[in-house]
Amino acid sequence: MPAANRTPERTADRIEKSIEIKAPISRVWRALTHHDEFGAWFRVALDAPFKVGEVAAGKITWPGYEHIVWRATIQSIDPEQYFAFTWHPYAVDPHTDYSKETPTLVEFHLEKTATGTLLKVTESGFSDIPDQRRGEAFLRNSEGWQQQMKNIEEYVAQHP
Amino acid sequence: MAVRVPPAAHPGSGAEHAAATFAALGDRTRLSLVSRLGRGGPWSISQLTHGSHLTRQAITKHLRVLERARIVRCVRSGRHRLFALDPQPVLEIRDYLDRVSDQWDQALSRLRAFVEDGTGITAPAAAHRARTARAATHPLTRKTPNSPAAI
Repeated sequence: MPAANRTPERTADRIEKSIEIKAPISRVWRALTHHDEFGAWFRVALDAPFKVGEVAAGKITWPGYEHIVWRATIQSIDPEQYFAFTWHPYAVDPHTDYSKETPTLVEFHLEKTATGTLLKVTESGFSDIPDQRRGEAFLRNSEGWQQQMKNIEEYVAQHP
Repeated sequence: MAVRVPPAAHPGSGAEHAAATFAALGDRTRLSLVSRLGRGGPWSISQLTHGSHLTRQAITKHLRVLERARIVRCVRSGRHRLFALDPQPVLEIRDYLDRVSDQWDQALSRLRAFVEDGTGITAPAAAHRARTARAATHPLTRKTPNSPAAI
């Protein structure tokens, strides 16, 4: 499958993706928010519908990872426009308690295009952990973090 | 401020490493210290304090946090302690975000296939494809950037 129409972007505290899908918004919306359909492409066995404020949970259907339970707390379902959940990304170690870490926020925005649907996904809050309130405030203030991250990456590039 | 010291590396611990590094870097003073350390070095506490509005004690405290997160290491030079940047944790953050990013690329490709192919990926087909492709491209184990193709 071609990678066209995908605009991968990430900054230190945020991952942004968008993908163009040749199908009407209603179809994409169902694939996103109907638990069975979501489970099919996301590869998790879910047996209950998504409900705002509730935890959706099911076993991962990746071979070799079936012992891991996937969990997300549904934050928002705004029909055919916006869907959001919080979760612990990459929570693949069954011996680690991820529940004390502040989860990241995953947001899906849908937009109608001439040929179908533009789906934007944002995952944010990687640095938003509880003992770091001050840092969080700093992150929100424009360039600070990103500029420093760039400095560090430059440094790293120069010091392999 | 308590910043967790990351445990020894084991598969799947990316989040914890990343969280500890993010935590240590998520402070204006420490970011500027890291930035300064990134311009050569190693540096003594006096050098790092010079030109800063902070006291030596405050700088020392921040260096300790960075040291615990392994972003900065202390090297001794005679009676002096010097501090140098260790880029490894920052590389780990980058690698961690790259992996999460790759996971999204793959998930969205599967979503597109699911929607555009009508019937889409059924669970057994997905499992079969995963089995055949897993060794090289499983998003949970892969460390190097994969091809953009969906699996």
